[in-house]
Amino acid sequence: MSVLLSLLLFFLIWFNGALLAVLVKTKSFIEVLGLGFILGSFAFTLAILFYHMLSGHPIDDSAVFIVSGGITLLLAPILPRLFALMKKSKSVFTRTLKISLLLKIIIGILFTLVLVSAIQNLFWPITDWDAMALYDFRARVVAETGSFSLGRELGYFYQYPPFTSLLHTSVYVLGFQRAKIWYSFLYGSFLLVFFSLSRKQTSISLSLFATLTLAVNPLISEHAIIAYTNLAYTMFLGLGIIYLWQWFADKNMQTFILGSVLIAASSWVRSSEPFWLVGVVLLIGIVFLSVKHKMLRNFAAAVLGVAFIFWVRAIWPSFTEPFLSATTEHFELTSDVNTGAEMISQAPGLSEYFKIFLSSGSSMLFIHLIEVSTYFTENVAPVFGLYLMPGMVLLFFDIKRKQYRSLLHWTTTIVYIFLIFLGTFLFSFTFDSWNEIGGSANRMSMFLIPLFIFSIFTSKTLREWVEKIK
Amino acid sequence: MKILNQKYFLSTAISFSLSLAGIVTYEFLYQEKIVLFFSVLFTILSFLFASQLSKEVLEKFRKTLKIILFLMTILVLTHFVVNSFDFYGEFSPPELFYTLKFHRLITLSGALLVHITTLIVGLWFIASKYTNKIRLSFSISLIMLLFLSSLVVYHTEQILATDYKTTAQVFLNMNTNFEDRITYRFGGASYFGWIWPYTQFIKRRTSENSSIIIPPQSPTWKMEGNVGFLRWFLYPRKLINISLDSAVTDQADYALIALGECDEGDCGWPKINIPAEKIEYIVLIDRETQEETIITDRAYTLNKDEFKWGIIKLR
Repeated sequence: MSVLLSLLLFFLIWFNGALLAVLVKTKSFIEVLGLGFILGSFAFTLAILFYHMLSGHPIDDSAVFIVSGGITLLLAPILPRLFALMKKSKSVFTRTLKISLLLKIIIGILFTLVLVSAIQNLFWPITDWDAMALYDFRARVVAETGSFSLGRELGYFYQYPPFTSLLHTSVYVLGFQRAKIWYSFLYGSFLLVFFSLSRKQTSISLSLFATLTLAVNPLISEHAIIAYTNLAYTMFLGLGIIYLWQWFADKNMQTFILGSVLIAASSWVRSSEPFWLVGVVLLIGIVFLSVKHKMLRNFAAAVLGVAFIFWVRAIWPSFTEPFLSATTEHFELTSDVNTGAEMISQAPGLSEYFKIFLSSGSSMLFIHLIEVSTYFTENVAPVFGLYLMPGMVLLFFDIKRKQYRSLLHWTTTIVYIFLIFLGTFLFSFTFDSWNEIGGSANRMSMFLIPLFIFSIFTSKTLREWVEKIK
Repeated sequence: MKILNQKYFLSTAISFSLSLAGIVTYEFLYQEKIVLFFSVLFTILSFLFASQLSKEVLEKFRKTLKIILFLMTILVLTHFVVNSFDFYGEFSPPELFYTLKFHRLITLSGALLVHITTLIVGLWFIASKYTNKIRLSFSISLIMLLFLSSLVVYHTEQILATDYKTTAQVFLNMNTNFEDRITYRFGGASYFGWIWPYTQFIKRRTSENSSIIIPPQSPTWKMEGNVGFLRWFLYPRKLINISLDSAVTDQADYALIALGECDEGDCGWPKINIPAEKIEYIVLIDRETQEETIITDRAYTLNKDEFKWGIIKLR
């Protein structure tokens, strides 16, 4: 019974997401297929927390279906549009049959990878350290008690937004223990949307190669079978930024609505890192360009997009605030569960840093610079190191060919790398154990992978090269 | 022209010698990425000079590549054949196997071999097809495409190998209960996997609303001393960390007996003895047989041979 109920829940969540995708006028069948779980899981977790907050109803099996069913009812008027799009599925299938053998093999490999991840996730229980310490533990407590209120007693509980925990809870309350299956859904959806976004900018063969490169990346594939937040974060932030880039190519309102929603969703998974800010900067760029091109609707939507990101970021702190202020006793967990992101959340303000810099001598700054560079090379650079050389070569040729869109992609990516370096440099002054979180820094930089791969494979130069070889 | 030819051959030679050096001198150039970096760098250099070359030289280049490709194929096949034997089991290879350092072929990464073979096949393909139109930008484009394809092949090979291994593990554990698979995932009961039978034992022996004193968090008690981790297994029981030199007082209902990892430091816990009048009973669990023994009317004294794993019910 629990399996059947969980299947129904998975379907409803996917269906809601697909309806939301159609609502913002997504036209590609594959994109809607992928966005189903991405938007559906975000909307569901957000809505169930609101339902719990406003009605006081515990988060239990009935709440799960009231919320998911309620969203379906609300979106029911869009059903005909979704069904019309579904009819396209046949043509997608016939087109797939016509592609070359090599591309069919790539599709086969991609399918196998998602299937194997699903088998693994269904078969093995959760044994991932951070998930046991927080994300899954929190889900089990909420499933048992119906609320987050015990968090103040339990100490390490509110530090991260609840996205993955609520996904786990949603199946635990139905009696289904294999919550890791969510990560296969996210992995598969990530690949589908990444493919369809690449396809908008390049050929089918290059977009399939790009998707394969993403799917087989060691970090991404590793996270497809562990219950951490990093895959969901990478998916939301990476795709969000790519959607915003897409706007500069097609000036379509749908792309940046999705871009802002996904960037907001990334803050619903992990909120300590400042990477969402780059998305806001891109959105502000869109605001200015909309004014310049007199696209008033785009202007209004971009402003709303920025507001939405800030609103989503504010939900979790305002929800947990009453629990935290109700206690004076503070739990100190001097354990491995104190991760990099937690350190970030405890970081002092910028003015504090200026004081520290002024009081340190120039030799001290130099020593830190060398230490941080070494640490960065060892822990962060390997995440994207292999893509750096082809990326820079392609950027050079793209600029030579006056393909300036590449410049936007690479500027964003390089700003991100700089932000990670700067962040690490600042922490090196305030936290003695700053260099003991190599694994955390590595995972934190994971979102750069889709950005690098997308920028490389959608380069016009690369496409010309491939055509020349043919 | 003559100088260019020499440089060209030199760079190609260095490129492949480094790749092969990486394979043969396991300790020296073990890092796959170093090999990968150098082979790509030197191949780019080779192409820069290749644009200046005559047909005769390119013909020699093709022949050289063919020989290397042949040798690599043998190497790849040997690697897979050698790996198919169970060297840690009953099969024992002759001494000559070690003298000739064939054993290094076992520990070598298959992905590295596949990568280098792809690189050579690509170079051969380029040298054969584009003899007459190699220009600087064109050679760079070919190298980049080659690099990206070999990267995809390399990562795909890695993940498929891992998937194959983990799927095999799924079949091996088909008959184990869902939750008991935690033991296997943590490396078995003789390793971190012990945490599952141990915490199941604690759950059986304590009530849900009880409080339990646990060792301090340190490398010796990575799991047993980590409240954040251990609570996943024992919630809603309340876990209380105390320091090494603190006495186990009556602030809790139970105290863990946890040997910990003796390789990591001074193991055995609690460190402070507990008098018999403060103890209701002690239950010990044997790590190997999981047999439980109940002891009453006894004081607890730190004795690593007798008190390894268990729980003390405090009065």
